[in-house]
Amino acid sequence: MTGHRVSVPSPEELAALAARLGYTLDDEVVAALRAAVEGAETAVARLRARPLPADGAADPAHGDAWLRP
Amino acid sequence: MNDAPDTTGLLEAYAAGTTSPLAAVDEALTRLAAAHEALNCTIRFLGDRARTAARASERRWADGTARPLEGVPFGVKDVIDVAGVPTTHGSWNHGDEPATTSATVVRRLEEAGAIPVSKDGTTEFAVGGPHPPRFGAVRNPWDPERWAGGSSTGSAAAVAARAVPFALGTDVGGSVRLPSAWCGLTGLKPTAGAIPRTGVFPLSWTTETVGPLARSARDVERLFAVLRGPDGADPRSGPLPPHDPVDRDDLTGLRIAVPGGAFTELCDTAVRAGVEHLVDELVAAGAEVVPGEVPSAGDALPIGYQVVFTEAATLHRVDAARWDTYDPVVVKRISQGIVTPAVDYLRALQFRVELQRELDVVFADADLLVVPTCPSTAPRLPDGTVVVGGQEYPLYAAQSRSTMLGNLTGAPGLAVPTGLAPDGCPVSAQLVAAPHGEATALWAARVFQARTAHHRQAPPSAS
Repeated sequence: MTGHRVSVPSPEELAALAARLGYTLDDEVVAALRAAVEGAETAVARLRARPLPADGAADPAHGDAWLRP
Repeated sequence: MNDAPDTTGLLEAYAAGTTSPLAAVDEALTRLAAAHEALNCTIRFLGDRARTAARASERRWADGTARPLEGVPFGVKDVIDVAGVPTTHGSWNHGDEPATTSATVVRRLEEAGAIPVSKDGTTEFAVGGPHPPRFGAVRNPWDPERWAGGSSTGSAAAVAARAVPFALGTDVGGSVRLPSAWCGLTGLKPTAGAIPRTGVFPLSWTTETVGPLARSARDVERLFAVLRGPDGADPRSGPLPPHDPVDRDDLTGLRIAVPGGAFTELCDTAVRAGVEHLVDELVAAGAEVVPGEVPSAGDALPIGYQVVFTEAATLHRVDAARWDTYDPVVVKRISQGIVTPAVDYLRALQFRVELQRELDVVFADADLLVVPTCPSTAPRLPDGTVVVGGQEYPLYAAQSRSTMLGNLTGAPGLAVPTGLAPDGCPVSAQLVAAPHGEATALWAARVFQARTAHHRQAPPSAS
């Protein structure tokens, strides 16, 4: 499956990013969010490395168009 | 308590003159009070408002102007506005001011004659844990030591307890279908955009839908016909094709795919048996099983959560200074969305398209997918853990494995009760259709329910 390196920013980096974006999180929440990010990282990394289908899915508007009759 | 009629049964009783809207509303309020006492399912009772509406319904039945849902009481998850009534979102942070207008879904039901009788318990903002700090956990009518599920938790408990014939819920990762599954109900997550969300407190614009939790497919069919169609306000709700219910009692020509992989790799034996039972009955009624797999289904949950929590964190940034008053589970869940890089969020939306294309391949040869609704019976309180194959799992690792696919792609899914597990609690299977294929899922479910009685089985506490 992967071979992708799983690397999640440190708690300090995540807390700093959250603060810059307007969120103040305590250490417990930062630890929980880091664990969640880490837990999803394998799937996310797989997605990052996967090429888009050759017939094009680059514009997310395709996702909305699929739902129109 | 005697078993209460479902929506269709109640309308038949009105037409036959064996009961009246006022009697039914009074009965619903009485049952709700008892259910709330036992299960903690109700945030607000709408007694005066409901009785006024019931008296108007009585006049309509008397003068021959009864509308499609005339006099049918229903519950409303408390993230959905009802005019004149506060919407708490299950939170300390909202709910002091009454809503000025009703949500489109409530307005449509009221215009069809239905009568809201309660605002139902919800996890905080429809994303928190089983123990919202303001109102507490809603217990499951099948086993009060278990959770009713969420996030449409009070709605499911009230319907399963036979207090109301149906209720409205919202579904971002399974929040109509999961509590339906755990409470033995038939619940619909419609095609994204089929039912407008105007007047519903938003959590995730990409994945969120509104849908009914009911006692039978015939009821869901009736409700969906009233609820669907654009309202000119929800930008994701546009013109729809005609809704053509199938009234045949056999399933000849119906093709069903029964994918494995991520749908079944973490799944209790009793749930699998329920899926097989549903498939057997559909085949006995004329359906044909065809091949069909969704290769990337296993990534739908983590990538779907990435979309949901990024959008939720965006929506809740305005209240970031008050997060210390939120359910800690809400904060822990949505905070992961703060740090999602924009390129990952956009890649997730591209993945949505890839999943849709995988579904296109399946739906080229199949009309429906049949999958478990969720891997287990209802979570145990207080921790909300679920048991699969005798092993305990955390709630969020297990619950939305089969439901998030529908939220991320927008495809409709109908949860259908398939029996009871050895622990005495309901199990459920999900019928997933192509966009705007609700009629096909409802047809199959209605035929299944005509051949079986699982949907009619009431919890011991309600019978």
